[in-house]
Amino acid sequence: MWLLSSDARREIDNLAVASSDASQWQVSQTEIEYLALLNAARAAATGEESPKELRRRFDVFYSRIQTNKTSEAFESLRDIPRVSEAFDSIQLALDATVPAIDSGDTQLMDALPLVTNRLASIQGDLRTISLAGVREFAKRSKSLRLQVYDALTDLGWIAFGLLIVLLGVVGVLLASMRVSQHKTAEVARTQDRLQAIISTSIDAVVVFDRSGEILDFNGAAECIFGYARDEVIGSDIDRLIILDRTAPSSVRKLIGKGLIRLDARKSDGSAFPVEVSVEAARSEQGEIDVAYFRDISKRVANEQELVEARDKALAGEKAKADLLAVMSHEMRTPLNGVLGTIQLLVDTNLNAVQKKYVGVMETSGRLLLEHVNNVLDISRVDAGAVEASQQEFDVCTLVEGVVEGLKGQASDRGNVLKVTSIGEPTCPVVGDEARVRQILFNLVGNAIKFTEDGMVTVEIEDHPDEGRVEFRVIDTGIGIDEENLDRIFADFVTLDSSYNREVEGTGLGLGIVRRLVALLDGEITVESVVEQGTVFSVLLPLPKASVVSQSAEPELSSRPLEFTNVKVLLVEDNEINRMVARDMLEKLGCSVTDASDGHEGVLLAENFQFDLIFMDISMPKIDGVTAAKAIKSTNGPNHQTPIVAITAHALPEDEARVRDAGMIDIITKPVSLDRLAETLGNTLPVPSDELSEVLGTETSHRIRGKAIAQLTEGFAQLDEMISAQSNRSDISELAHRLIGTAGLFGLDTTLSELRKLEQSSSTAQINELRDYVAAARRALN
Amino acid sequence: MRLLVTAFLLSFVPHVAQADEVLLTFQHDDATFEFDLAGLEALGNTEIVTTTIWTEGKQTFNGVQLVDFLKEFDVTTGNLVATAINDYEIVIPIRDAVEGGPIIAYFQNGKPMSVRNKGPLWIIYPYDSDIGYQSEVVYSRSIWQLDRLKLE
Repeated sequence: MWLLSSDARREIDNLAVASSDASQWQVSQTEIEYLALLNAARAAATGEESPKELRRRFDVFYSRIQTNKTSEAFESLRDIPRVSEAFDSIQLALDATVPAIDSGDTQLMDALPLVTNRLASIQGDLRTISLAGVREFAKRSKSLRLQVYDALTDLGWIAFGLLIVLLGVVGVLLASMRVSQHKTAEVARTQDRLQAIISTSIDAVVVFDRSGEILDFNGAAECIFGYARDEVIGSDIDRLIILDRTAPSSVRKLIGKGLIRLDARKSDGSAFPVEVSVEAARSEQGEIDVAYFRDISKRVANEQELVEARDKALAGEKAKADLLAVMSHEMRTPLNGVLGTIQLLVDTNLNAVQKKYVGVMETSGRLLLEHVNNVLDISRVDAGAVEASQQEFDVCTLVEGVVEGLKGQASDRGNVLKVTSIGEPTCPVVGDEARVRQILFNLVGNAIKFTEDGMVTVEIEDHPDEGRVEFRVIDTGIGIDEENLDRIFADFVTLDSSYNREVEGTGLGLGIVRRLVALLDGEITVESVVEQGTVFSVLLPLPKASVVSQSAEPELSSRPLEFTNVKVLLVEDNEINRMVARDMLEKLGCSVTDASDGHEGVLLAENFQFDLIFMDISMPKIDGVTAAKAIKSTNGPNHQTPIVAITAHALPEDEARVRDAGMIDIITKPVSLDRLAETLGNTLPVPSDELSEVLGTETSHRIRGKAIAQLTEGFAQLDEMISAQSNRSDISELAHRLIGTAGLFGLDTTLSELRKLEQSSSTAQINELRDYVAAARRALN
Repeated sequence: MRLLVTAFLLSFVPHVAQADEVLLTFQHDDATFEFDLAGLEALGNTEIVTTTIWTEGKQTFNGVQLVDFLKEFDVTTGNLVATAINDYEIVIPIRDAVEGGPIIAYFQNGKPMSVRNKGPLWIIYPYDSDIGYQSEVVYSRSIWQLDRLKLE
């Protein structure tokens, strides 16, 4: 389009400028002037006209020829060879004539015939030029005409093009109009849809503007708030709906904050809880806010109920736990008396009949204790009061211990007990030792109970890649029939059998096993064939212990030990329990002072030095914890004395309380001689030569070796610090620590060297310090 | 070459207007006025430098502006009938006579024009100065060998 129009413009410009005057006229005028010249010549010859006229005509013709030769219009003409030749010939003739013309009249008249001839000869050339001119100018007109035609055609195309463009634009406009119509219709439809959604929504939808003025109020809102739509339009949302004291000062503050719980006001003024969500939206009028309200009164009420129910349940649980605690104390305390006394009785002089009776009493007592323990265990596990602990222990040793303990029962019923291990022997594993022991104890005990003159085998199979160990308790007893297989794990289920009187039990043994297995994240299964036997399989996660670490707790032999000259303070309010404990301790060789309440205990502790204090926890007036704290806090002679708690309670929170008070160990009632001995052995600081006796050679060697290693390392570190000229107080501190270790193992010479080092550390020279270290090292070796 | 020859030949006494030869006759309201070169020069001397379709290259023309000529006679309207030696006649409307417009040229490139060179008088428009002067009408008014003017 651009090209066309510029073209057209150029054409038009061209037309505007005339590059020639009337060329055709010039050509004919040339001929006319020539004829006039010829006439003048002839007239001059006859004397009709003066030579002046001739001269004039000549000049005119001459100038005409000059014009023709230089004029732009004739350029194309002159390019024709014929024409240019003609011009040349004419020019020659004229030039030849010029002298004659320019001369005087007389000369001119004389030359006249010659001049006339010459002039006549031009005629042919002139004709040539004229004819060529006619053709040429015709051609030019034609081309001019064509130019005009082209220009107009171009214009025509431009106009057409414009028309097309216009049509195109119109088309586009129409299309966009259609689109916008379509869109408008769609918007209208969406609008209707939205309206339907809002009006049918079961949540209240309130639309308001920036100033809080309510613009819209749907049906649900009318219901919830109790206003008719018309009443409410135009009112302020804050004042109308939201209660002042709970709400932020403006509903608008809630925009974009998600679901908020608030109190709203009904039309009758009553408050009710709502859940509200507020969002801002843009519209042509600016910002529009939308609030959704949901009446949550019911939900709040439900929540309230739930909370109450939960609290009740928790209270119930607490009550249960409290009952547990009380019960355990109430039951264990007399049991302690019975069993303890029986134990003491056994060692007195008894005749055969008495021995028999005492035996029965002991068995019954033990059974009773077992029952009580079972019930308490179950309650504890169910209350979630227990957590699995982690210790390192050896599986085989544990199993053997269990089997050992049940050997008597087994042989009573003619059963043989056996332990086999499948696969690689299990090295120490990590798990809850006591609970694993209990599981096995219960299972093996059951197996023995239900088998007579048969065999009970405990198989241990290791699954190291799973990190699990499988225990199988296999008996050749009476078996369990299929319909009972599921029931046996339920509480209080004992199976009828012909051996009724011998199969005693609360029916809780397997219940406990089930719970403990669950606690340890294990699995238990049972298979049985009646009259042939039963297999219980327990799979427990017991990963291998990563480091074989030395247990710092030494294992004691079960023999009671001598603790002569150990001064013990016993604080126990119950007379029987006190008597039992006292006698046991005296049996172990201790000299016992007893107190019957906390107050007396504290008093005694303040005035006399004791090696160990046994403190009953649950005492009236001042309880054990308070007493212990009292003793620990004063600067009396028993400030540092180890205090061991005795309690009938067995809950973990008790343990925490006890340890907080500064007591280093707990014994549960009923106490046994062994337990007392163990406690004494653990808590009393023992001089080193007794260590071997107490611990056994192997253990003491192990511990001693560790100590020596510690000291050696300490010496090396001291040397380093001395050389590096470290802080003297740091050196003194390390020496002090090593002194403790040396003291514990009775390394007296080492100890004294270290003490010298410690005392002179601030003042001594470097080589003096080095000497002390060397001496200490030598003493060690 | 031809030009040189022509120029050489023209150097032979070309008929150039003599000092007091009458070049122009002006008829106006039954009055006739005759002008020679000096008379025309006295009326004005304006220079136009332009190319023309009858010459090659820029030419310098000196002459009296038509407007100045007519001012002498207080002529402001009407038509001028211009006639040449060969009786070519053309009508020039007075409105063409403007300042900066056509002149009655008596010098071309500083020299008087012989009749053979379209002299002695040639009405020259300033063609180069305005595309409006480059039309056939104007070209037809650019009368050379002018010798008579009549006011109508």
